[in-house]
Amino acid sequence: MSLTNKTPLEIPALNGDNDNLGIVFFNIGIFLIILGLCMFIPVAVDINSHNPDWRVFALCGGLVTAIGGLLYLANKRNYKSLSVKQGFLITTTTWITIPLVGSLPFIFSDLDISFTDAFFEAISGVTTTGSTVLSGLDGMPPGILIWRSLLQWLGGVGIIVMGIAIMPLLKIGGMQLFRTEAFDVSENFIPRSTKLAASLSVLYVGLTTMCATALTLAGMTPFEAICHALTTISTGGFSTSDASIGHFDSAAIDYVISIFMVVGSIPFVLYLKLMHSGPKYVFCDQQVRGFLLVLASIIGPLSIYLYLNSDYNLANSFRYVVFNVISVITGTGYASTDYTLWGNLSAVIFFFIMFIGGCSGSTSCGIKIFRFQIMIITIKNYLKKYFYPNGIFVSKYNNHKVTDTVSSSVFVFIFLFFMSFIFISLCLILLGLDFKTAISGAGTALSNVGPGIGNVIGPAGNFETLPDTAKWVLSFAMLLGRLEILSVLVLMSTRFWKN
Amino acid sequence: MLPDIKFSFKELKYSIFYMVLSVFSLSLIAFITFELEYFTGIELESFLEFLGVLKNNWIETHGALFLHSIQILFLITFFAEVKIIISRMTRNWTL
Repeated sequence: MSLTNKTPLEIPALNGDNDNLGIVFFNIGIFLIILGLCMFIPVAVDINSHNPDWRVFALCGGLVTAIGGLLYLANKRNYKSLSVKQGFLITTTTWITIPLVGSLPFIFSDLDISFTDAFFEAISGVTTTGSTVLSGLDGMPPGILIWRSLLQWLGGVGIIVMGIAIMPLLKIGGMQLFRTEAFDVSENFIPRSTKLAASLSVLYVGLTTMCATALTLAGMTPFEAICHALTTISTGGFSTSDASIGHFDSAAIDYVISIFMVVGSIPFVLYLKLMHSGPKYVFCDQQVRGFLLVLASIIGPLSIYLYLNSDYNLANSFRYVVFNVISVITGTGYASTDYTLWGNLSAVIFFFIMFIGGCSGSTSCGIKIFRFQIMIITIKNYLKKYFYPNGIFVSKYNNHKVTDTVSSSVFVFIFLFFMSFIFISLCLILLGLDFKTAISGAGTALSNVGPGIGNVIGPAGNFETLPDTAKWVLSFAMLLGRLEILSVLVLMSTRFWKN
Repeated sequence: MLPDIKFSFKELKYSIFYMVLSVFSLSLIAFITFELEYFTGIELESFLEFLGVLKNNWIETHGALFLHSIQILFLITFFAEVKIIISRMTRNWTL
């Protein structure tokens, strides 16, 4: 066929489903339009409080919406389906583009921070990490405060959808155990994914509204309550005060936030089951039971330890331990007090529990409870086989058979997680950070927790003083942790880019 | 080898659209519910003042209590609304 006979549609690079980049830009365009429109919420907040920063948000909002609109229109084609390759590309590029664009208001506002700091703050928000480079939050413009909270809240929605719809299909880190038929379009396509997405959104907004109302009842101002509700349900951890939740010094607020942090760490599909068929499903779930058991087994002994080794009475010991343990395990990252001052034992415990994480299909992060449970099941099975070599043992998790593929996926994930942890720690040490800051910084970024351990990045400090290169390394670690490592690593493989 | 799965693009597009729509709709429902309850509360208080059950300008001295009562009422009604909406959305599902 001669070149002159070719119609534009026959050019492979621009042809429908084969156009990898077109579909990626199209999706990024949609997300940028949504992000741009969200920037008008801080505009309203700043106008209401007579803050001149509203112009920055209005300009950025207009610009981002326009760029998003152009990307959308320029790449609009009759796409039919997305391949896994395109799925990986869209996931990672979106999680890089949104913080890039989300950092614009930080750069152009009166905060006077560098691009590195602005990007760090934005990626920490979108990945729901909650590490901050900003200080003087108590006197900060309300528009900036609500924007930080909104970034975490939007990140939370993305994580739920990823955890329920995308990761189980991509079979990352044993997530295939949570495969939901609603998003399965490979063979027996059930056209209800839109309904599932819509009902999850209703649930997410519903829980956020309930959390905000409960926080207002507990004594916060409506603005503080909204900001904290947005970052509690998303297990993000950005606060409106430098002292985080410790600023309020209220047991009621501590307990309300603790409850909603746990709520945000339980699989959201279970809430749909709860509203659909009653509460039995929630407590029958092996992952939820494991999560609650882990919480109880850490909170109980640590409360007694704190009571015996501090001036707190039993009620206050329990309150501080409940709040801070839940905050760190779920990856929220709020602090009601500097728990690293409770003694060496508590510092060690808080360092290790930051890796645990909540349940799969929730907004929380870290290794996640189900992976520990699968590891225990696999090890038990291995021991049984050791004693009974000819025996056949079938392991089950939540009534699903735990295949060798699932077990190996989990072990691979955990291996990669700790290899990444070592690599990031070494990078930070090479950049001049002290040992405690380096390893806790790597851990907190990979697990998307927020504060680390030590004087610099501990609950009483922040990430402002770290060198710029360290902030970029930590930003990469946050992205790696949030996208379950393999989604990012797969893009670095040459095989991925071959046809 | 990457898993052989195709995501439906149409479903993805509609999902994003419905998610945004749900967020706005529920926020609107929450706002309307709270405002309705607040104004009903105000009217009820005026009526009780008119009947003589409450002292004149009761709301000025008991503003915080009134607001807290409305907030508790809102929490309960809003939870019920969310439950009804989700029950309807997930009707005939095998979750």
